[in-house]
Amino acid sequence: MNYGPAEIMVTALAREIMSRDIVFHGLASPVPMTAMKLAKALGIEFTFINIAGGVDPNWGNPAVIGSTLSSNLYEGGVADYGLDEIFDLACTGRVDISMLSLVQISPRGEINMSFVGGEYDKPKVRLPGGAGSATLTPVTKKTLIWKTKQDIKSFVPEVAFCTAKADPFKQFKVITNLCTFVMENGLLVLESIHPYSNLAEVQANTGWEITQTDLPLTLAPSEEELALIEKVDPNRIRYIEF
Amino acid sequence: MISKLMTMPDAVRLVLNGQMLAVGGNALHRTPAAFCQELAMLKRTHLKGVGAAPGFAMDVLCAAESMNEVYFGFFGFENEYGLAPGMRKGIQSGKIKAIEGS
Repeated sequence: MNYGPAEIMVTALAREIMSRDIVFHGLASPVPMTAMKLAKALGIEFTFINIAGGVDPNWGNPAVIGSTLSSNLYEGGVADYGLDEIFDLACTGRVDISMLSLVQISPRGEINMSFVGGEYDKPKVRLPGGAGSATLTPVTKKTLIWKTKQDIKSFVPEVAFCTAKADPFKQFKVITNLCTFVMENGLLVLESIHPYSNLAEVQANTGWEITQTDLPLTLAPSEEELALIEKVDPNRIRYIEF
Repeated sequence: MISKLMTMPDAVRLVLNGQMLAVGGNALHRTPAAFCQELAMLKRTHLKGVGAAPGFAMDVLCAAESMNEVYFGFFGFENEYGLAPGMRKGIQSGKIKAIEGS
C-alpha cells in the first residue's frame, strides 16, 4: 500500500468538491488545504477561499509550514477576501462547503470545541473554541468534518458541551483516519471504511453502537491522485496533523 | 496639526486597569506581540480582551494575570504549537471568564 490515512483523507475531502463550488477552510487545516489544492490540480473549477483571505491562491506553490494562516494561502490569488466577508457570504447561503474539525462529536452531529470536564466557567480542560463552526455549519450547504484521530474519547454518545450542531436538513459528513460517516435522518451512519481498517476497529474507536454490517470500502486514492498530492504538498505538511 | 504619533512605550501606558482591548492578528500571525509584552510588564489588572482568533499576544496578558475576561471565536496557536497555555490556566482556575462567540 503506497498511501496512508493522510492521503486517503485528503482524497476523500477532495472528491467532495464539485465544479463551481465555493469551498472554505480555516486555520490549523493542513489536510483540507492539501485536499483543496489536490482538487485544483485535478482540474476541478471551484473557488478556493480561506481564513488567510486569499481567493484561489496559487495552488502550485507548496506550503512550507503547517499554519494555514500563512502567505501561502493568498499569494498568487485573484482577490483579497477577508474573514468577515466570508462569513457574510456563508450567511447568505452561498458557501457550498466548509471544512471543519472538532474535539468531540456525538451521533447527532453535536460538536464540542469548548471544554471537557468541570463546568463552563471552571473547566477541567479548556479547548480553543468553535472558530466559527456554530455560524458556518447551519448555513453551509455541505459541512465536511475531518478528524485525523478517531477514538472513543472523541466519538462520544454525549458531548460535554455543544459548541455547534449539524443541520439535519443539510449535507454533513465526517471523514476520519478510519472511515467516513454521513448524516442521515439526523444521525451519523457509516458510509465506508478505509481499505486498511475494518468494522471491528471502527467500532472499537466509536463511542456508540454501529448497527450496520455490510459496508463498502472507501475508494483508495488513484495513482494520479497520489502523484498530485505529492506535487501540491512535496514538503508533506499534511503529516503534521497525524 | 497635532501629531497623533507617539512611542510604543507611551502608547502602552494609555491602557488602564479594567479597559477592554481589541487585539488584532490571528493565532501566531500578525499579533501585536511587543505591545502586549510591554503591557504585561505594567501589571495592569481586570483587562478584557477581544479578538476573533487571539493567540500569542493575548495569551501573554492572560499568563501575566492582566486579563479577567476574554471574548473569542478561537483562542489558541495552531497544529504543533497547540493550545494557548496562559488562557487555559486562567480559565481553568476560574480567574478568567471565557465568552466564546462564533
